[in-house]
Amino acid sequence: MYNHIQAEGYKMKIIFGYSKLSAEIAHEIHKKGDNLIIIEPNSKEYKFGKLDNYANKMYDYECFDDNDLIEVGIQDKNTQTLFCLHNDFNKNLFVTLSARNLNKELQIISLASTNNDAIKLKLAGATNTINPYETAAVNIFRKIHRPISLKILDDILYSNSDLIIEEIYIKEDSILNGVYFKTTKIFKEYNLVLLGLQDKEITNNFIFTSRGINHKIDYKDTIVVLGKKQDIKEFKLHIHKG
Amino acid sequence: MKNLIVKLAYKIDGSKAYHSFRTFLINILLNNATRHKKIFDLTMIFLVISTIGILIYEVRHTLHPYTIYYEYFAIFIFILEWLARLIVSFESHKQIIRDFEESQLLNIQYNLFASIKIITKAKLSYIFSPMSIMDLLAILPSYRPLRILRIFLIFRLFKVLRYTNSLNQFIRVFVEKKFELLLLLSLYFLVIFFSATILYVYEGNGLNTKIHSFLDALYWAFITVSTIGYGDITPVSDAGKSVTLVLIITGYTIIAFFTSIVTSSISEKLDVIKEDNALSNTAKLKNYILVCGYGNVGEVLVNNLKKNYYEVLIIEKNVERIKIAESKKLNVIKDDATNIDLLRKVGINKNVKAVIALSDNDTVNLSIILAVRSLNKEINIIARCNRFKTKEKLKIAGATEVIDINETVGLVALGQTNAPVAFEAIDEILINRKGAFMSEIELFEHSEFIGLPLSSINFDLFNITFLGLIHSENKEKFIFNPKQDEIILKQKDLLIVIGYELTLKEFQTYVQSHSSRRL
Repeated sequence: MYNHIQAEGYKMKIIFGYSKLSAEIAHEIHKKGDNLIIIEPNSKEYKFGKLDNYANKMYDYECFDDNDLIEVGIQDKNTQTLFCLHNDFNKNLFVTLSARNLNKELQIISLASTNNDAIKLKLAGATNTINPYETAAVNIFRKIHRPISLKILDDILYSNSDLIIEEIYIKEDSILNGVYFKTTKIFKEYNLVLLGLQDKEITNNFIFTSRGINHKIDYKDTIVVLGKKQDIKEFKLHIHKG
Repeated sequence: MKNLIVKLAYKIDGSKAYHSFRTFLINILLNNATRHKKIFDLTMIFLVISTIGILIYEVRHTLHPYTIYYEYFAIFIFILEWLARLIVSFESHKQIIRDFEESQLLNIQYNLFASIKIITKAKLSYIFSPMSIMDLLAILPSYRPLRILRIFLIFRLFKVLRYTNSLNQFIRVFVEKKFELLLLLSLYFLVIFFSATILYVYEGNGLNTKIHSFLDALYWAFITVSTIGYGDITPVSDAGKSVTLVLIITGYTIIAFFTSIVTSSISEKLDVIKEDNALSNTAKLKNYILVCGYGNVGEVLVNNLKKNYYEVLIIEKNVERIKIAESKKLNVIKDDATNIDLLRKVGINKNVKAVIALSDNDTVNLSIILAVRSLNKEINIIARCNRFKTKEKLKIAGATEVIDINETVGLVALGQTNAPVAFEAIDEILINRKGAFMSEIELFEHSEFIGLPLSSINFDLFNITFLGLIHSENKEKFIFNPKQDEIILKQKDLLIVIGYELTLKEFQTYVQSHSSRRL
């Protein structure tokens, strides 16, 4: 009934709480071919969730006990992300805190309907929070405010075209390490557009190329480029070949 | 003759000029949602007040001839207005057509007099309506032989009621509470009559030197019950004093009752008054966004729209949500967005740029879409979809875009996990939170770059990141970062760029017109 967990090097995602939103995310994860575990304490929802056939494994744990999370695989090195999407905010908060305590590197995305919920979740260790109302509203706003831009970016983001947006982490041995982004021609050579970078050393904010500052790309920076899949692949190979 | 009149009726009915004239009259006289009515109302209020001013001035001064001409001008306008109202009150030609077609259907002789009778009745019913009488009283005393009736000119002040919505609502309170108010008034007069009778019986026989007639007793009772109490007539007997005590208490009670009836009724009317205000505010708006539903999603959406200077009108039914919207000084109407009449009133055909249906119930959203589409086939409708299975139905109903909340949130959640930095960057360029944003720059007719290769535009001069372009002949196709020598620019092409507000403005000017900065 479940999809078989792929061998060696597989990526695992865990969803806590089964709802319409979880089903949507599960569907997308399934499309990408990643492995998925769903935890739903309510047995009625649990049965419903099983029907979707997206999960590799399902559990009906409350997750009040850390052992439940450990058994599910929260500490597994292949487990990348935990989505806390339960309708009960307090349960999401509890699981976020427990999971962070068990795995410091885990990416945790939690549902927060208000700003106060988001503050608590961040304190509990969530990497990011999502406010469903705000997300939907912002999307509608963009459709009114910048419909063309939104369509272009949507197509890029959700892979409706051969264009993709990619973030590339700069390793120490990268040929881009120490290069000023205004002077380098490398992006043009690969027909890529450099949107900007996130400088971990100075600030966590994103610095746009169009800001006019000739920023130096350093080790540990993350650059964001826009281009064709194949071009980006070749570019990545080129900059990290050293 | 009969045939001629029927033919004329059909001719009028088919005449575009007649219909546009009638619509014009309705718009300036009756349609609160138009700007024309607002201007007309203000002009009429000015005419009324200025002519009353002349009446007061005339008591002790001689009028300048120009003032008299002005008075005639005002009267002329009043007459025109009254005639216009008479015209729009009933469509005579429609009655003739209706009766004629009925007679054809029944195969009987058409009776013109029957139609004239109905038309006359309808017109007379308008002429003798309170508002029309008020208008006539404002006009007739100006006629020289009727100068004796000059005092009736003060009735013009009542005309002001016609032109102010809130005052109209106030008058309606009295009409709607007619029964309660009449009951109270009867009680009031009964008490006055009884008290006056008792006082007159006991003191009118010469005991009280101030009371010479029953009218004096009535006058005393009225002055006392209204709590004014001039004191020019005071009771002298014990019976008279006892009656005074009862009268004072009754007076207070009646005033209290009257006040409570009127205030409770006004508070009931408050919603209607607010809706009227919101509608008349809407009439001033151009290209506004109609948001149907002010829930959690609506609140964030409206915040974003207002921040970007969009005009917004909200339709919401929930009282609590309305309070939140009002506290933010937003235009909000408490009503049902599926109501076609309401949508027509808010100007869905001309003033609205887009409609957003945001109910958490998909059937309600479907109903909103159909209601809007029934009035406007072209308008942009964005609908919220709460269940995946209803998405297609909302599209069939006529939504331009359907936003599936779960799908949107799901994609964003996954986007954040796959490429968080890129997602943050995109968030910024679409919302313009910190300055950099994505813009679509159109090449207008006069741009000097039309016909030149893309490479002739120097993006680096302005710190602009060029992403690509959309050719005017194929708006669906985004050409990403093309080889700049191979692209020849055409009119209405869109350049998709990222930049900051200032640089983008400068770049736009550069692209649109002058070549001074071109290298």
